[in-house]
Parts: sequence; C-alpha cells; structure tokens
Amino acid sequence: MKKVKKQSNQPSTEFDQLSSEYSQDQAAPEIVPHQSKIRRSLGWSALTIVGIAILSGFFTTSYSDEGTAEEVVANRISTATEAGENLFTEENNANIEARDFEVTNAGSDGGEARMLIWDFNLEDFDEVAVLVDGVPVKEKLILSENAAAISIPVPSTVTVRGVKDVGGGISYAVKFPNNKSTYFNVVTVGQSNTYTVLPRP
Amino acid sequence: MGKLFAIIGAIAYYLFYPFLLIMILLGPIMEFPVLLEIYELETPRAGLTLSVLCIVGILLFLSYKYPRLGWLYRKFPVMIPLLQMFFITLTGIELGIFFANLWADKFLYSKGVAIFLSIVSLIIVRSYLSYWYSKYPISYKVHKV
Repeated sequence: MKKVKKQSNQPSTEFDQLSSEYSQDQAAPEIVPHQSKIRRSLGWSALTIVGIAILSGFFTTSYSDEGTAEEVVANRISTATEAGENLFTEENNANIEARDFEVTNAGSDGGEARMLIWDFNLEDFDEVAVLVDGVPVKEKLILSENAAAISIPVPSTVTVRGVKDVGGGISYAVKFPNNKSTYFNVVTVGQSNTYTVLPRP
Repeated sequence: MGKLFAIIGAIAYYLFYPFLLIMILLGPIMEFPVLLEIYELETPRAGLTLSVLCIVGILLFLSYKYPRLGWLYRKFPVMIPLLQMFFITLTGIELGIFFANLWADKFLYSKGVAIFLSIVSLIIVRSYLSYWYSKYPISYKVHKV
C-alpha cells in the first residue's frame, strides 16, 4: 500500500516510464565479451538476408503467378510452376484427362535433358514406370512431393505408364527445366502418356 | 499501457522462441544434406527458404537487443555467439540451396556454375566468421599470437 502511494506521488508519465525502461535495456551489462558487436553483426546479417530475399524474389516463381490452382492445371502447361509444388491438398485429378504432349525446345540436338516428375496434389505414393524410346528407365517410380529427375536423350519419346493407383487416380506433373515448362497429366493403371521430346530448332 | 504491450509482446515472442531455437540450432545440420541432395539427385529441393530466414534473423536480433527477451542468454551465455554462428552458417547454406535450385529447377546456368556459386557462398560465410572471431574473440582467455 505504501509503495503504491509512493509511486502515485511521483510525477512520472507513461513516456518517462518507457524511456527509463529503454535506457535500462541499453545500459544492461554485457554477458559475453563483444556482445554489442555480436548484436550488430547479427543485425547486419539479418538486414543483408532481407535484401537478398527481396532480390531473390525476382528469380523465384510459383504457379500462383499464373492464376488459381484449378486454372493452372486446366491449362495443362505452366511456365511458372516450380518442381515439387503442391497445387492441391487433396487427391483429385482436377478434372483433366490423360493426354500426350510434344515437348519442344528441350535442349540441344543429340544432347541430354533432365525431366523432373512429381505428384502435384496430395502425396499418396502412386507408382508409375518411365520408358525412354520404349526402353524402361524406371520400372517403378513412386511419385512424391520431392521431384525425381530422369536424364533423357534429345530427341526421344518418353512414356509414363501407370503402375499402381493408391486412390483417386494417378496424377503427376512433369517439368523440363530446359524449356522451363511443366506439364500436368493423369494416367490410369496400365495406360500410358507419351512425351515427344524435340530439340531446339 | 506500454508495459502491457511489452509483456504481451514478450509472451508472444516466447511462444515462438522454441521453434526459433530448433530452426537455428538444427538448421545447418538439416539443410546441408538438402544442398548435397540437390546436386546428387539433380532435383530441386525446398530448403527453409530465404524469406523464412529473414524472419528468423529479425526475431533473433530482437532477442539480442532487448534483455527482456534474452533470459536464456543470461543462463547460458554461450548461446549468444553460438546462435550468431549458426545463423550466419545457415544463411550461407540457404544461399547455396537458392543458387542450386536456380540451376536444378530453372536451368538459369550450368551445374558447374551452380556448384561454384554454392561453394562461394559457403566460403564467404565461413571466412566472415573466422575473420570476425579472430578480431573479436569469444573469450578474453584467447590471445592472438
């Protein structure tokens, strides 16, 4: 009670209280040597990483740059999608049908190109087989959120065949980093999708 | 009123603080294999991302600046240089992952250039830490010859 009375007698404002707290904070003794320098170093590091993150924003893309997930998948070919991106949180085929694609500008003639393949909606570990020019490259490839890479010759014909459907159909996305295009597709067990990979003109 | 905000802010901060510690202390150990995986499997992998690292950095800085948020450092003083080292190392690794992903996902440059950029970012943070702690040693018992 006495303490409260004493406090009320003091002509201190809220600002004074705050500033005194602030000065206390500033005057806190150092716990380790060079603590203030460590703090400053960390502050500059944090500022630098903020700057780098802003700059990196110019290089990173996402499917959302092209519209909603439904729109992007319905358009079938996307140039903004990053490999491994999940467009849906549930297992559905986004109302698309199995289709064959012609992949143009996939690399230099006679060279090699990378093909990335992943599950673009709920990760349910469906299985596919990948054949290049009729020769099996992967007899069993479990589709997951983490894209798998397959090296393919240019030109060639890549076939993706459905092996195991855990439920809701086998939906997957294929990306060719060389032409920066992602192709959304679905396949059923035993059926195949073909990608005709063509070189740069 | 100001004090109330400060207390609410501190409570909100401490709710997030365990995650911050986990991210910084386990970050370098967890993210470095991600960087290696990108080059081994030639597929892009999402790391912690630079934007998450920004938030982590700013929150860590706040805990260094305001003693109210730094009770752990008074109990374990070694945490101050340790977290700074880990954060800066994590920055280098994340930057390496960013450069690796630009190759693996977007093919902006060749694999050789990507590996070079990743190694350079790791070397830069490592030399920065070496320089920094040789200039400002953690302990006064450490004497430069």
